[in-house]
Amino acid sequence: MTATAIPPAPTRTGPAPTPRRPSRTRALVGPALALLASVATMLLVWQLAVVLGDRVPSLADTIDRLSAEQASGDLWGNVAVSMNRFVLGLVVALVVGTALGVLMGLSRFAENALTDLTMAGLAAPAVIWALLTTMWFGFGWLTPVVTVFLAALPFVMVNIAKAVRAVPSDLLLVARAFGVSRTEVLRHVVAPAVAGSTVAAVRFAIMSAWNGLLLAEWFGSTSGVGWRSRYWYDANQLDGFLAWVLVFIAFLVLVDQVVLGPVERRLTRWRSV
Amino acid sequence: MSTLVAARPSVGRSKSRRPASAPRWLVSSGALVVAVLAWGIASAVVDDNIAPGPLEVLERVVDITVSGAALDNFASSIVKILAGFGLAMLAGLPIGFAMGRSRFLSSYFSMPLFVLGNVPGLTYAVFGLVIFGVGATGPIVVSALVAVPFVAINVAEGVRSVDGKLLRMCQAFGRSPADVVRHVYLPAITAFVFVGVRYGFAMAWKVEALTEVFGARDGVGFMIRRAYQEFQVADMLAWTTLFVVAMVLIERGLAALESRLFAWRKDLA
Repeated sequence: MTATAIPPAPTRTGPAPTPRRPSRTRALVGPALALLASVATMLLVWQLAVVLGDRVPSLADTIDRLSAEQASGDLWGNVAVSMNRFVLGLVVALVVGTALGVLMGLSRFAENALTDLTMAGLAAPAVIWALLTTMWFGFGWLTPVVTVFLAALPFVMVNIAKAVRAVPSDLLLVARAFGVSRTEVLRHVVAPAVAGSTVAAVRFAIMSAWNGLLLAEWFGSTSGVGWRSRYWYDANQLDGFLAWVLVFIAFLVLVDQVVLGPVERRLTRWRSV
Repeated sequence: MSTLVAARPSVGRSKSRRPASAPRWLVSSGALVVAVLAWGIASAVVDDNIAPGPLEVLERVVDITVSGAALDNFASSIVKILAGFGLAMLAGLPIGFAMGRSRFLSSYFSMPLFVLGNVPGLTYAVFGLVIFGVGATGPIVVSALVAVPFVAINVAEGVRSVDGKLLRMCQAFGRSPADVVRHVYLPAITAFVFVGVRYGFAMAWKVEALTEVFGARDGVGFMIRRAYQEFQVADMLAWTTLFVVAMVLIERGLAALESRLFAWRKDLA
């Protein structure tokens, strides 16, 4: 477990804060060039791995396999099945986790009571949930959904509790003394304070839940992206497996860069001004 | 991408705790007791092999610990993690240093590090097994790959935290690069590296255990896998309990060590 409930609760996983400072002249060209160079380097490293490691499938084979999956309808079919389970488990985890997290942020008693349990939840590896739910619920939809829920829940609780604690109580008092309306307070005092940790809650929940989903489908499912990647692995067709790994990574990059990144920048705009 | 791996060292913040109304340990152990009772009742209601009660699991925990199996397998896992972290340091320090010094390299490395840090554990586990076979190499390489982003990004943060004026002054007074590294950069980045290790540890251990689930001859993950295949849910839960307890203890130990070692860095608080 990482960034946990103890006061300095920081942040874990996902790399990368390149400080986004307002532009210099090369502000746009530089990063684009760097990104291009880094993608080129990654492909080069992959190619090296293909040459050196005799079991690593090449890029061309992998892409071929991916388009074959797409042509046969296995790609989008399994993605759709998995997304259903993923969203269901994640939404329940966000709702329950937010309720418990707010409680932890507001009440010292709730914080003391739940901190150790949350720490245990953060420390437990997702694979154990996947294996247990497979034994408990068999090969049904409940296995991946419950795993997703359990994998995401502690991350939501910890980060929402942190968000609630970040609300500046002195500013709230001042606002009340000056008769600032409730909506104004929410918009200008509460929202900026909780934005960062709330985005972090969603981000960690997604990362952890996705990992849990794949494992649950690997061990206890007969459909979905995790199951499909296992199908190729069991058939000893590593290019098929790798094709699905590309899908897994694409999903994470998409969520991080296209969905959460802009939301986060919008929410934290005020800081750079 | 956001600022997720880089965490400010937690030095000195602990004193900001507000005075508690009810003793903390009482409330938290009370909550644990309630949770275990709920588990006991649930397992009594289900009354099946797949939901063993807390007493049964406790019995297995004691057996495993007394027989020495716990020590052997945890030691084996932790040695692999340490080796992995050694490798991660070797790679992460120069990468982080370069990222802290150059904006271009910072953008250059951010994508690969994001991918390394976020690739689902399943992928690492399978490739660890496929490429390195059943043995210690797979888990070691995998934990190194997982840990590199944590080390690199925190080193970069540490390097960025170095005061530019201090560097210019070093230059003005003709300090050698070795002196600058030794007296300016090193003190600045150690605290950050420590944080990186602390957060990377949990991630790395989880993925390492997963790799052992897929293929190993010993280690915690391997024992969980064996219990799963033999349908011994009590054993699975016993190993998981030990894993969670060990993880929490190590985390707390590292956090305590961190606030002791870096207590002098008041500026980080």
